[in-house]
Amino acid sequence: MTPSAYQQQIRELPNPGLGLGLRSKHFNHILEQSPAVDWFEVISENFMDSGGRPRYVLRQIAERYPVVMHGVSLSIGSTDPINYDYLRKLKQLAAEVNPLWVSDHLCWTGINGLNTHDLLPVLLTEESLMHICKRIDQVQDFLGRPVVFENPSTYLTFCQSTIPEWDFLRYMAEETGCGLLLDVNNVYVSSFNNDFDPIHYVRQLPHERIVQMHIAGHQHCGKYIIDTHDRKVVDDVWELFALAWQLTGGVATLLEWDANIPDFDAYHAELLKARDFMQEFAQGQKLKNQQGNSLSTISNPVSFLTTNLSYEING
Amino acid sequence: MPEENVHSLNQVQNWMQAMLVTAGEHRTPGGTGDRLKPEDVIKASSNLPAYQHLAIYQQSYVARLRECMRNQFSVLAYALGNDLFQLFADDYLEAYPSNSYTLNSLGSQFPHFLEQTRPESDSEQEDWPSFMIELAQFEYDLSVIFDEYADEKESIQSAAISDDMLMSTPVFHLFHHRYPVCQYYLDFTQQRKPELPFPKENYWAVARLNYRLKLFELEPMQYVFLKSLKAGRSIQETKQYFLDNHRIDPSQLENAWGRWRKDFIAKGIFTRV
Ligand SMILES: [Fe+2]
Repeated sequence: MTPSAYQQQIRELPNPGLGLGLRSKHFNHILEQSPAVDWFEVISENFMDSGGRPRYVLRQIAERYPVVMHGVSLSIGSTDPINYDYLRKLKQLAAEVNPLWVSDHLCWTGINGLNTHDLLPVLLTEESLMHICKRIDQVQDFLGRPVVFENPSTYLTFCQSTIPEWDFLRYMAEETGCGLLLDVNNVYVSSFNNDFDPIHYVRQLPHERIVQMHIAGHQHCGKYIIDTHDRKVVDDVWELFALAWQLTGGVATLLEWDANIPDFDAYHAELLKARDFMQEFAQGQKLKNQQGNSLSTISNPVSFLTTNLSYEING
Repeated sequence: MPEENVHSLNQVQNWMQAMLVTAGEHRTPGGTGDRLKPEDVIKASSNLPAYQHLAIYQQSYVARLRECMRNQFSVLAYALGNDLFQLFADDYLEAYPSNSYTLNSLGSQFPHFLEQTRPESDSEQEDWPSFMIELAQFEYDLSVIFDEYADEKESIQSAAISDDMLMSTPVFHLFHHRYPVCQYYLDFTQQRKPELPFPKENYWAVARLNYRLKLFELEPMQYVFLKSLKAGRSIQETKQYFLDNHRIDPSQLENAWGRWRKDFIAKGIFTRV
């Protein structure tokens, strides 16, 4: 398919509303209570190799709720060859779950056959842009669908980078027809760590390409911020969300919570705060820093990347 | 930017990965171990010098994989104590950095690594490394069984069924250990704070029923019997195999089988052919 055909598909994607990440801790609650959540986002890697309970639960949830598949291992920016073994499994899971869309991150996770299991920052240069666009074409053609790419939290800027990330994402979308997932918390985290203005970033994005937003909590460590997904969303991020909501005209929104996960109702309540910010427009508001409590300082906590091994063992 | 400071995409990725993955000296903030220095590749920000930006990734890399190992081997971590476990885990992650898109298999080579690097033991009595290696292997095996591909079938509830209609449940595994690792594992999961056990040969079964794992101890003869069923023999064939290979007379065997049958059905490990 051509980039414009993918772009057309992206344009036609629905807005399912406010969603939550599907976490193993909440499996039983969701199956038993069928809570009124608009949709669930699932980490593809938590399910694609499971022939046991995670896959079994996902099949049931996908029958009851719209589902979006969010991946962490595509490694679109890597100079390694594309991992077709991984892509085959991703495609198989998508055929089973029938997600509204499939997303991953603008990042690389490793080279020379290794995997750091981190979302590493890409070089923002023309060489890198060409490389990534070519790979997006290959991945989309293999999957037979457009892929949605998220701006990751970044903790460094390469000396060689010449293209601002918002422009890089725009060019990617224009060249390949891919969609964008705007993580407003990541914008906030990256902006603090790399000295840019988060409001400017959000304004410069191609808003018509954005199909989804992420919101999340982070850990402020004084001189830098770590994207920990382990607590409530700070007001500055809510305000950035309000701005993005206005500029995009409102898109599917998901609250990420991957460590120190609260019970389901508390998680849902935090998500529903988004409604309060949908009407508000935070134009020109000065974003202030907020100090969080020290719980964890690992970015992309491990539970984001693996299923919790909660076996429910019986003797 | 001076010409010699322009690096290809591949060079930058090679450099950055080496700073995260290879020898520990790279991981200490500011450690380079390479011709390039962080400030050659990474910009300083208003808050942090280049090497500290890199250090955020270095620290997260180690912390994330350590946490994953601790989750994958939580009982072993208890048995070894956190400090010793972390030493082994760190050495392992250096020797076997992940080469998979999934973290599920991060610890797949850990039992093998522990075997390779086991400390010399001078006494049979205090052979704790053997226990730890068996425990590590068992813990990893459980994670594989948990996610094993299989269509689960309903267990047989009633004993009123003929032998030729019985087969073991699809996800069913047998373990023979020199140390009581399964008991230790169960004790830990039931918050009984087990102590380092003495060697004692033992036989266990792990069944996945309704997507949950069930562990139970077997008599040695039960183990042999179930192992034969798993090898594809019918119950009739297994009985014959028993009579041919073990010193047991037919009436003794029938007696034992009657007892085992009830027990296995009660445990849910039989399903209909
Ligand atoms: Fe995100």
